[in-house]
Amino acid sequence: MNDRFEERHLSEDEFTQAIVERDSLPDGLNAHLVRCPSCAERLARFESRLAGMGRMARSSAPSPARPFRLPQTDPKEPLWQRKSILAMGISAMVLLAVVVWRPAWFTAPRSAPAVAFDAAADRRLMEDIDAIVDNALPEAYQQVAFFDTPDFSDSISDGQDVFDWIVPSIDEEDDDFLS
Amino acid sequence: MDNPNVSGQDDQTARLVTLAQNGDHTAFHRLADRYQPGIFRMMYYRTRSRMDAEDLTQDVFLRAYKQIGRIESPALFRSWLYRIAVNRVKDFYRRQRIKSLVGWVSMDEEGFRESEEMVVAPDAEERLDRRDFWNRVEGLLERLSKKEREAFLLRFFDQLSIQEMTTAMGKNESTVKTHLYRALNKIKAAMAETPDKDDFWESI
Ligand SMILES: [Zn+2]
Repeated sequence: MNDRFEERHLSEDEFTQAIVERDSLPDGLNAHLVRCPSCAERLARFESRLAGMGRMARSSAPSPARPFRLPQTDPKEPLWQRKSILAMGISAMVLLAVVVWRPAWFTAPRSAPAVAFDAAADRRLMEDIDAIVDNALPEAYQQVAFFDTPDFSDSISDGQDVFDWIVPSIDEEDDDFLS
Repeated sequence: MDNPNVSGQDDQTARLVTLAQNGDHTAFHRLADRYQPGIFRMMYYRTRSRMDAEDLTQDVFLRAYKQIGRIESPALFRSWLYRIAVNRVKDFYRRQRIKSLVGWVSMDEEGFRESEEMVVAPDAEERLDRRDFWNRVEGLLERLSKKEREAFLLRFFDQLSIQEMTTAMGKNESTVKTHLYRALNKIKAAMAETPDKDDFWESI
């Protein structure tokens, strides 16, 4: 394949390719360029035109009027370091302001206290309802109604259990007969 | 481009970049002294205005100073600098377009350029030669797309290597070569279309 390249002159595209990057040419074409004066001369002429163009451009451009010097800003750290320090300082101040003053927009959402308040009211209402269910009488009457009245609720229940154990109910016996 | 001292220069540049990253102004000024002429010329090739080239060069180095802490490979400083410059040129043309759209550009461009050339070459004959040269260069460049033009200028006017061009243009090597390849084919065709008796491009 390389031999085939060595036998012919370079095409226009191959010349361009040689200028962009000589090493990217196949070995055969590079070998041809070394051996063929015609192709070598064509390539050298185009390269020389391009180099001349660059040279002429450089010679016809002015030079900078003065050397570049950084603006006098005093601090020893470069600008990018000072900027990051400034940014950190501002961030710290904003954080401090938020912590100390707690601006309205930063604290809990607006609806949160209302929700907390409603929950407490609900709790109180439910307690009141439970109290009325247990005892419908107003407090003043409750004092009168329960005056000297012992609470038998527990002892009554316990006594009934014992009684049922000693003397079973008739209903339970009937059930046994039926079974 | 084939400078045997390039490696030594690269080492020195890398050292200066490291110093500048640590806040050494003198090191940064030494970097500027080394690269300012190249960046200034680059700006001049693209704007053909000494004043604009001065302003843009100043801006490139200020930006470079502000961002120098971001360079991870100090040896790539030169191509990184050209990248800033390429972007500044793009901004410059964008602004120029906006200004021309709203009618803020009142200066006669040709007259302005002529006065610029007087500064560069006070001798009348030389001035004409230079004017002719730039007119011809413009005639060639206007056949290229923006990317092709940038690739061509970076390679043959600014003398960047393909590797440096990849950083400066922010493109991969294959894309850079493609732009360059197309640019060269068009330039070659344009030169062949307008053959001079005395072949201007041969004579320079
Ligand atoms: Zn040949």
